[in-house]
Amino acid sequence: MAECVLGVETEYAVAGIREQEAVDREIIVRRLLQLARSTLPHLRDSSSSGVFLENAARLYIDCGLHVEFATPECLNPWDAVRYVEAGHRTLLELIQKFAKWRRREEETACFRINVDYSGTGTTWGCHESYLHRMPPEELPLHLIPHLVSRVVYTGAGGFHPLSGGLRFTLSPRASLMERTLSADSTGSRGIFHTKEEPLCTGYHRLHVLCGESLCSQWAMFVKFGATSLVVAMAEAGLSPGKDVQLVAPLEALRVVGGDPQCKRTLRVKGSTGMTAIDIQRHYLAMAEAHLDESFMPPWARAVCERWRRVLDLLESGPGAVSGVLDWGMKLALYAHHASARGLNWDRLPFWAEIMDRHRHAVDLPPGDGQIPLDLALGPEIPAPGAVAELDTLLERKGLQWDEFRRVQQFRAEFLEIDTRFGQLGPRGVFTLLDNAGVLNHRVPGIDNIEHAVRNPPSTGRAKLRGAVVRRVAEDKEGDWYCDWQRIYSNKHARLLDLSDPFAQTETWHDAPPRGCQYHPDLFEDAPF
Amino acid sequence: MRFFQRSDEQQLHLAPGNGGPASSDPLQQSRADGERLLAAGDEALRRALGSGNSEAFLRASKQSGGE
Repeated sequence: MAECVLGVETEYAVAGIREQEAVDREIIVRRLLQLARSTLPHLRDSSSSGVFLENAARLYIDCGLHVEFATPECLNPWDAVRYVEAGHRTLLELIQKFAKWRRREEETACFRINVDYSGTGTTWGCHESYLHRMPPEELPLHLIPHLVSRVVYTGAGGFHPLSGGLRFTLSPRASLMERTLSADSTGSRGIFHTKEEPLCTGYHRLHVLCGESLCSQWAMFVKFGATSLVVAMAEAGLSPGKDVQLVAPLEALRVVGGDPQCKRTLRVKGSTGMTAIDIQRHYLAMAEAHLDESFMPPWARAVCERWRRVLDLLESGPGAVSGVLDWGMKLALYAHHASARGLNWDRLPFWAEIMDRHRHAVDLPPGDGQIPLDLALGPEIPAPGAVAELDTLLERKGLQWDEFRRVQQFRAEFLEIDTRFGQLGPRGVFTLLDNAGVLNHRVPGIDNIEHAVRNPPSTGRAKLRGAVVRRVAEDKEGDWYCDWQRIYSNKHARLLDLSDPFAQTETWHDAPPRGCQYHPDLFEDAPF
Repeated sequence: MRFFQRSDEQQLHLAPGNGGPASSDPLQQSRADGERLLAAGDEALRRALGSGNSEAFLRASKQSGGE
């Protein structure tokens, strides 16, 4: 059977709040990194101010002041999820140390979310990497229909980040994808990221950036497993995406995101239309038909079983995944909470439309807050004609502006709930539900997270990296540095080549003294 | 309208939760699981929203763009 290599990068949102004001995030992330350096066995990252840890993962600060944890290279989806969760635990421990150090009446928190709700379209990533050996330019054909349709189980759920109302979506980050293909990762992002940076020799690396941070083990497991299988089938020449080519992938992504029933059809070339579930079943059927082929990984059958199960549940409607998938949990909770607040959940999309039209009419850019209703409808309204049109629309539907006022009143509360859903630690909504035993998201075999916090995966170059980090971390005089492909000591003029992702033995070479060009940046000297 | 009281009975086919009493009737079991989820959700949201000022929370948790 074939081996797969995959990894996951999670960018976290970090925030500090004291007396209802923000704590400078730069202070928080600088100190978190310093705490990592002072309390965790590590080697310095040669390409940034981050660190490589004894579990072979990388912890660093990425653009936008996001703390980022990149898992070590994993050979199966169980390990991929396990090390994502090890990252959560590492971050939570650092946050707790930070809180103890501050000793102030403030809350410091870390969130698994990929958008904020300031209305500016700000987003950050949860990226996946899959090694392969096929021509990279052929991958979009096979991956794009998968990346669009997999949102039915990979969506984090939440609200459209650019709406002035409350518009539930399966994938808030997907709402911000602007292109089908793009090489850019910080703006004009695409469904398919064309970056070519293998970080090893002999392979290409597919870098998926349209996904989201998830809480559900089941969702993560199928996300990593199914995408690995699609890559494996494409690499084997099966052309898995050829018969499900989307006419308009971005438009299809919006449709899938806005359809919790998963019933809407997408325009597919040469077809009368397919739902996202139909497209996923196409990929699944192909995978199931080739389970025992040499190009498939040994765990393909286990992935296909859970992949099929989740698609079957989705066919039964969103209630069937309310204990399983992130967006399903959120939809159930938020609809229930709306009812408790006296809001009609089914009418929220309508009010979101009204609010967005109204904002457009009065030329209020996103992120500038809400328009007080009294101003919006008062004698000084900036766009009386447009508001009169909305008045007519409401009258036709038998609705009152008072309901608009109630949606406005509770909008921020829903957005806080969504932000806190994936909060690390005991206050996170997901954690509270999980601890209450009301979820069904766990996958057998994803356990012993504490072991993954301190130990690398059991094979491949990650195992070697982790062992060396542990062995030399205390050799402060050795001037050691690390990156994904090498570990080296300027003092000892020795270099460990890790360019082979499947390396099993340590192969050390002589290296030129001071061969490492280290690039410190603003995080190097934290003022503490 | 409450999520688990919708007329579409298909929506009630919940995956079983991790705990709670088992029922021989799948529909009844699904409904019970759903009610337990929502009850736990009420408590979770109450604890999560401790600050009582969501506008301030959203301002304080505003992020810069990453990748």
